[in-house]
Amino acid sequence: MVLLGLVGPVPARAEAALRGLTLDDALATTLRTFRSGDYGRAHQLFGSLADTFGQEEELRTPRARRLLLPARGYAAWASGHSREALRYLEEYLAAFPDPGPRHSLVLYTLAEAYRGEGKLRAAADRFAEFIDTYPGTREAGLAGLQRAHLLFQLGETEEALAWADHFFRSGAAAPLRYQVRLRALQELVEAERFAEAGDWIEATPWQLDSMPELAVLAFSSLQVGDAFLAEGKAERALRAYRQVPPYRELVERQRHQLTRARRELHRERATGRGPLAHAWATHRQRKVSRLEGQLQELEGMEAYTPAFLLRYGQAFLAADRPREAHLVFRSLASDASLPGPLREEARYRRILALYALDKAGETLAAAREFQERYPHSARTPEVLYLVARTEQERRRYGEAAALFADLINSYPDHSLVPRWQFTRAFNLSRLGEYEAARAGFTRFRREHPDHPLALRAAYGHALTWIFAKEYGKALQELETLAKEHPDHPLHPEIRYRIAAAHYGRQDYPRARQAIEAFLEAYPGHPRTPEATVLRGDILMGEGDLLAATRAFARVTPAAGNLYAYAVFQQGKIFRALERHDLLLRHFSTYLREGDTRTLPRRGEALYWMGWAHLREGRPGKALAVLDEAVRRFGNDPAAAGAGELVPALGELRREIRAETGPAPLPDHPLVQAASFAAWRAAEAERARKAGELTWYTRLQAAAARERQAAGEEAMARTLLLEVDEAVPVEQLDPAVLAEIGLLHAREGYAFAERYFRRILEEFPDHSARAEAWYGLALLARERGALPAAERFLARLEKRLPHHPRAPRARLLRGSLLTEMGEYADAEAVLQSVLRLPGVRGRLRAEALAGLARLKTAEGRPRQAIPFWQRIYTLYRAFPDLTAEAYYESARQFAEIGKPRAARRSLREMLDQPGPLDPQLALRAEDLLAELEEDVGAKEPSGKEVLP
Amino acid sequence: MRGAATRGVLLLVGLAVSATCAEILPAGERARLHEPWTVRLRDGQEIRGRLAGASPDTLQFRRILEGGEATVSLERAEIESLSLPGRKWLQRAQEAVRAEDWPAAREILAALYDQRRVALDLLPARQTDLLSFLPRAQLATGATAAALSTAGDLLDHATTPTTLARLREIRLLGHYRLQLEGEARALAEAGRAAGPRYRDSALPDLVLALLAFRAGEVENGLRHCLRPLVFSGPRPPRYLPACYALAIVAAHALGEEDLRDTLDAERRQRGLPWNPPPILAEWPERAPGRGPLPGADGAPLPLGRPSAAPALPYVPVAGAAGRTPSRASVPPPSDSSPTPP
Repeated sequence: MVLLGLVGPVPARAEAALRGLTLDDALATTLRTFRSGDYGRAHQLFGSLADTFGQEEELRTPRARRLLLPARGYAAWASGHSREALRYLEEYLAAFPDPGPRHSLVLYTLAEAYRGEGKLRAAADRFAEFIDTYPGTREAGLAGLQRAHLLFQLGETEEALAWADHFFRSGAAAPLRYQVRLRALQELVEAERFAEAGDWIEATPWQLDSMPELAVLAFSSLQVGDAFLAEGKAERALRAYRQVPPYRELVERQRHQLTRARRELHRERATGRGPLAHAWATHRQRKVSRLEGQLQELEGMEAYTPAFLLRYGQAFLAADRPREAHLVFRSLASDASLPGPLREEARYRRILALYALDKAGETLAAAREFQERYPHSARTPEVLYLVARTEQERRRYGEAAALFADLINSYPDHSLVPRWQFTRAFNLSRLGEYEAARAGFTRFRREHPDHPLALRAAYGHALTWIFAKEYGKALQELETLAKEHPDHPLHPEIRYRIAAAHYGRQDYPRARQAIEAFLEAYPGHPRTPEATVLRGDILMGEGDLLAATRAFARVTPAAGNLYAYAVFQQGKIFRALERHDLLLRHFSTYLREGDTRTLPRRGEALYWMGWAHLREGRPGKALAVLDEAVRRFGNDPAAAGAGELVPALGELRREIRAETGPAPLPDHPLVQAASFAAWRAAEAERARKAGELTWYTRLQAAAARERQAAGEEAMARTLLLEVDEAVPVEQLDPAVLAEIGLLHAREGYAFAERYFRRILEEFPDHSARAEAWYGLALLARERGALPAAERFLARLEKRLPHHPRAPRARLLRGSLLTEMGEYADAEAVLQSVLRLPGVRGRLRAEALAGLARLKTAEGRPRQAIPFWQRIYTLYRAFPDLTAEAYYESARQFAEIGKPRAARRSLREMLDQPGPLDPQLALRAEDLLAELEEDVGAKEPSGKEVLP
Repeated sequence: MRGAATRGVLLLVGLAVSATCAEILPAGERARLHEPWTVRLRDGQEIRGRLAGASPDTLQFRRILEGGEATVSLERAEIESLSLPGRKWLQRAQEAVRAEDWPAAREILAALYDQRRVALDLLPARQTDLLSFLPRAQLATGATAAALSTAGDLLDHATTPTTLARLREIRLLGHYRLQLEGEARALAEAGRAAGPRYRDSALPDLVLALLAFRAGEVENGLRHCLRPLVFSGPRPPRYLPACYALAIVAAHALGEEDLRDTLDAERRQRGLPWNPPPILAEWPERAPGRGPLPGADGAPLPLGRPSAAPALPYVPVAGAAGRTPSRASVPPPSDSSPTPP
């Protein structure tokens, strides 16, 4: 039984200290030295005590050993003699295994001693034993922290991580748990296990007030965020980046935490009690040292915030959150304290964000500003390319082509020159400048024969012939391409176009051969529905009508608009073949299987069914079909196209009366009535009394449209307002809701909003949404909310670009954009109205007027005047516009110092036949009088036209 | 006879009223607040007297001397410090503020403010900071105009960043609640322009967003409330939950469902509560064409009842992960301003 260790040489000083002392005195001296904290000396004294009195019975008792072994072990450890410490402490535990204060001190110190000896696994195990023996104690928390550090030091990463996770969920003190958590996070980041690190960052409720090492969290999160961004996981990057505070805030908080840690250390040293007070003091000292180091590093580094924000903004952009990205980049770009290159980068990325936001006007303006500011930047061509793409997407093909030409000329050695050349030619093709487009494609192929886009350039070249309806030339080129590139992804497309070109030339046999080969070779190709419809048309062209109907029958509702086209082409064929039976069956199926709310051309289908019955000499049946339709759909507000029933009934009545001739008319009120209008009025009254209010509104709305077409605006308006009064809004047909809503909106009544809202909420697929958005735009404009108004119209244009209301919506939008000062966008919108096929008369005149007003708003009277001149030259059928055109052109002629031209315009205006708006006439007279005070030389003949 | 009965009723009513007030700060205690002050001068002298008057440069005190009373006028610049009666009420006021018992806090702080308002420039910073909770208490108990006035007075004497921030927020809230939109907008814009990117309070952005929302400018409103969402790190600023709610509703109104869902997921991931400003209860009228706002569990997110007042909500200030309410928050309003047109 070794009492106090091996007997060895005793240092002279220690031996001298105990010389001549009794055992009790020597023991007292030794313990006193130990308690004073002079562990080095105490260690020596314990050695001397053992040497001198080691054989004394008193020192061998359990009581003495219980006292001396822990003290000697601790003194050995504290003075750096870990190996000795191990012996004494292990001996104690073997002899006295019961838990208690001394036992806890020994066990903890033993673990520290193992660590001191580099026996990390043993140390970790002893700490685990401590936790198991003293669960829930403060020191167990400390032991848990130490164990975690040891496991990481051992390289037992998985075990350490599992331990760290377990420890975090324990009841240990929060600062300890978070310290372990942060250590684990650091390990994961260093091991580049970013996904797990991200999970830990997101799943941990970080308590920033009780966590001292905020810098660890901040920098770990930064690294994890960067890793996610590089992997394309933008949303995860954002979540990690959210844990990164601004640099200054982090420095302040770190300073604050250091002050607090120092205070805790001081308090621990002053008041620490208990057998393991030293452990706490050591722990706090280490914390202070770490914080000092971290703070020093932080204070020595450059502020990371601006560079971090660039990445943060990029993460928003990558996450398809351009609004947020724009906020970040704009903030950086406008910060004068930041270095130039960073601001340049921020400005560039801001342009990308604007582009992603689809803010064409702002993108263009920002891009031009960038170009001016940084003409030699490597980003400038990218910015200009973005601008060119924006113009292209806005269908401003001329502007896009010009920009691409600029790019090619300004940066002839840029790697993207081939693409720019190709895209320029594409834009010219879209613009209708086919010759120039062909020249562009040809040049591209000559200069870049091996470029991946070379085939597309050849294809584009061929397409220009198709657009120009020169099908022979198109075919020559397309067939060559098809032959030379049988495996290219574009090959199917080329073959489809070959079939279409043959059809264009009315070479139906070749067209059919080509399209059938296409359908067989490429089932499921995106062009299949079009190709199927084309085949049907080809077969019709060949006169094989039955085969054509079978072809059209293959088109499904999934083909969208093509489906309705195919259905009605079949109807046309059945009519041509006089197969009324087939026509009836065909449209019955169409009406039965279609979605009530969305079925297009319902009324037309019903009409043709009625017509078919009529042709079969069954006027009664014809009427019955329509009666049935009225019964099923007439009073259902949700039934799409039910409003078409009324004109269909009118057509049918006319047909029946024409077909019947001298024979007695069928006994049906529709046919028997003196006129269709009389029947309609009676039917409306019946419906109103029977409570079939939706049907009532449809009848009255049809009457109103008739009055409108006859120029009886006031009567039309009265009819609609009567409907509005008599029928609850829930029972109004959506088209009628729209008409009434617009009536009210034009008067400026805000309550009109509920009509439009009802359409949008209850009939989300109805075409009356166009009127709803239009009406909401009118109301928003009335209350001065111009951006909101513009948004409604943009929505109309995007969702229903081919709606009859769309051109007028564009006019209004152009006017709003002018008011908002967004002149570039306003011009694009108004010019697009002029390019719309089918837009004639007043709409064109109003578009010209809009452009004239735009130029006036821009302060460019010389550019405004020609527009006004075109109006009063070409659109004299609209006296209100003509008068305004005369007046405005006169005013602007006067503004640019051409009074004679101004006077001439005013005289022409005042000489116009027909009534003039009195206010405008008065203003014209006043202006003329003012100008005539400056009568000069004889006026030259002819209008003055500005270049 | 009748006159005496009437007087008796009035007396009873008066007693009832004063009894209610006296529950927090009894009349006797209130009177003690006007007892003499102890003034320590820079030259070491100490003077004791009741406050008799004040001017920008001086304070006057009435002293009881042998043979009578005398009034002494002291230059403010000569005064080292002041000891005023009512120390225990300072303590009580602090307790009421901590407990967010705003009626009590208002009562006590109003009396203390009344007592020492002429000497605000001579009070220690911690007392001014305590008094800065008076406008908060006034706002919380419906006295919006008084809150604005008090905040304005105290701003001139506020020295710590926390006090300044608190008073500026009260001014902004007060103007907004009184529907002084022009002033509210100007204060909000100034507040936003003055601070760093990452701020402690999202109130200026929230007010600008609410003003835009009210004008039907949904896109504009969204842009305003996105700003604090973007520039907020691990310590969410005050009013961030309300900004999230407004942004989510705005995205929904604009038909941007992806953005709406992303923001709601982000809000939940950051541990922020669903806290919509009352104006959103009216949103179906302002954002036509959209159905209910879907929540993560499928049930619609509640937008609250329409309020009779253009009030801002109580927003418990976020600690880390939004769990710990801090003291720098504004409690539910109870003012009875008229319904906006």
